[in-house]
Amino acid sequence: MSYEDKIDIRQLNIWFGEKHVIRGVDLKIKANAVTAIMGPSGCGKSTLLRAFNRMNDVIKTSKTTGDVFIGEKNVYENGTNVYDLRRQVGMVFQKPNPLPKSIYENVAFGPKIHKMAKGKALDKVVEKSLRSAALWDEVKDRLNDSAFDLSGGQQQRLCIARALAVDPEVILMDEPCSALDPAATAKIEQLIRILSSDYTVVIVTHNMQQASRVSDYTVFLYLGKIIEQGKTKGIFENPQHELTEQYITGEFG
Amino acid sequence: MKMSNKTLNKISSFFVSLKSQPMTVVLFLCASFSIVILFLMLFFVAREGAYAFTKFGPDLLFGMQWDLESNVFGGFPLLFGSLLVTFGALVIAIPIGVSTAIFVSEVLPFHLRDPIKSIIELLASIPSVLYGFIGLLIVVPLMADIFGLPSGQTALTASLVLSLMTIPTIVSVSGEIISAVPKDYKEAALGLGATKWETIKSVVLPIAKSGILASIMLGFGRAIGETIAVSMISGNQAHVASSFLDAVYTIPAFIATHMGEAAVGSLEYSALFGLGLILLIITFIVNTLADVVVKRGVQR
Repeated sequence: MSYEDKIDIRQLNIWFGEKHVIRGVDLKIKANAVTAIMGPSGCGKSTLLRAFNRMNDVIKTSKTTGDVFIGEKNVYENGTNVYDLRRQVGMVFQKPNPLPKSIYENVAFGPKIHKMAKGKALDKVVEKSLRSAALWDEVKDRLNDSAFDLSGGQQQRLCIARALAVDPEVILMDEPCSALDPAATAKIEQLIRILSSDYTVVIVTHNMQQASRVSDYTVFLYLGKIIEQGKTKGIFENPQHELTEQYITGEFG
Repeated sequence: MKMSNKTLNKISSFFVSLKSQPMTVVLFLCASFSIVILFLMLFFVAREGAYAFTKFGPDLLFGMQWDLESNVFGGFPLLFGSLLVTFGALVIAIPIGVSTAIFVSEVLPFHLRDPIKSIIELLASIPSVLYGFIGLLIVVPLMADIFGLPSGQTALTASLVLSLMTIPTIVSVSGEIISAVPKDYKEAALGLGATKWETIKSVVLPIAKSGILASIMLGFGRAIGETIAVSMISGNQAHVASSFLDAVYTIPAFIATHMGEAAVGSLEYSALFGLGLILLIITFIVNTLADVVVKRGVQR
């Protein structure tokens, strides 16, 4: 594994009950870059993403074989602390899902449960995270308002701030803009570009334009298998596989 | 004048819309029916109780004496008995009921949840007289043994059995609400590395709290209105209980026992209706308070 690979997936297979969703995936993801996983609905892209922080564990019928290395550590090894893993590998979901708490408490929640900061230090973490998520100026005077009072786009940036507050190395985004309007989407995309200088970002999207706008590398997933992967520019300008070309040109989706 | 025309239009267009949709008419009638029943109930209970209320005023509520011979009817010991027994029942039932609901809908393995839920719902629908049997056979002697009392028929006995009756209601209603909390919100906490318990505490309970409160209200309604089981095990003495280990008489049990003997139209007859009205008003007040709390919770 070269030093710039952050995530290394080897022979990953995932089943939900009898359904074989991820079929023998091998994939390396570069550090401090944005990797987009794209593919038609139901191809397993969210499932693949959720394997990185073991969120598939929440679904009782799921079964996973293979290895996912984050840095030097295999997250599917026995004895992995999943709570610490999920701190290290943050996640932003499809629908903005703030906790039923104030704006401040949403961001402070992670540092609190992981006992990372309190008091003044916690205030600092909250401010820094909200600044990094480009939300601070909009909410600094109303930190004690309910998070549900924010607009959809603001809620999604709050969710990003919340993930940043626990000092992660990797940020997983599962179609983070699918519930947002174009203006809010543009803001999030801009943010993703900025975040990639400090974090390894993996984003799932079924929106090809979005993949081409925000990502450095693109993975095309189809029916649980990787069809093609490489630099985003290369994939979009010169796809090697017929399926990729058909997908990019909109023949199916 | 303009305003009233507008209102008139609204009302007439409402009835026109009723005409065009037969299903709407049926549903409208059903909905009105329950409201009508509620008002009729209030009306008749108030009408029958009016005689006693004009005669005794607040003394019907706060008087200490219920005496047929001197025609003095004061319901305080009964009111106190009802509130004491219900309070005791809820103190036991709320923590057990809510934690059981959390356990069944969040912690128990998936394949066990539905069978356990069915059993709990069955418990909620058992006729109350059977709970009275259980109380009489098991709880009454047990109380006498544990506390060394001549009779195990006490307020505590009634509270215990009532809590057995209210726990299933609280568990099944809160359980449904807790299961209905969207997965997205639980994943928000789990995705940050929260444990199951942290997720329950920070996401599930705050979102489900108004529904949990509603389940407690249903439990309260069942406890304060329970008649037969309570009258079988609470000792039925119309005095102000000195402790939970004293015998008590509750309003519903008292009404049920005395209604048959009271001459229709007599002062006692009217006083019993007065007690019923008090019960009705207590239920209204508690429900309204709960509504206010829930609405405030939703706004936040």
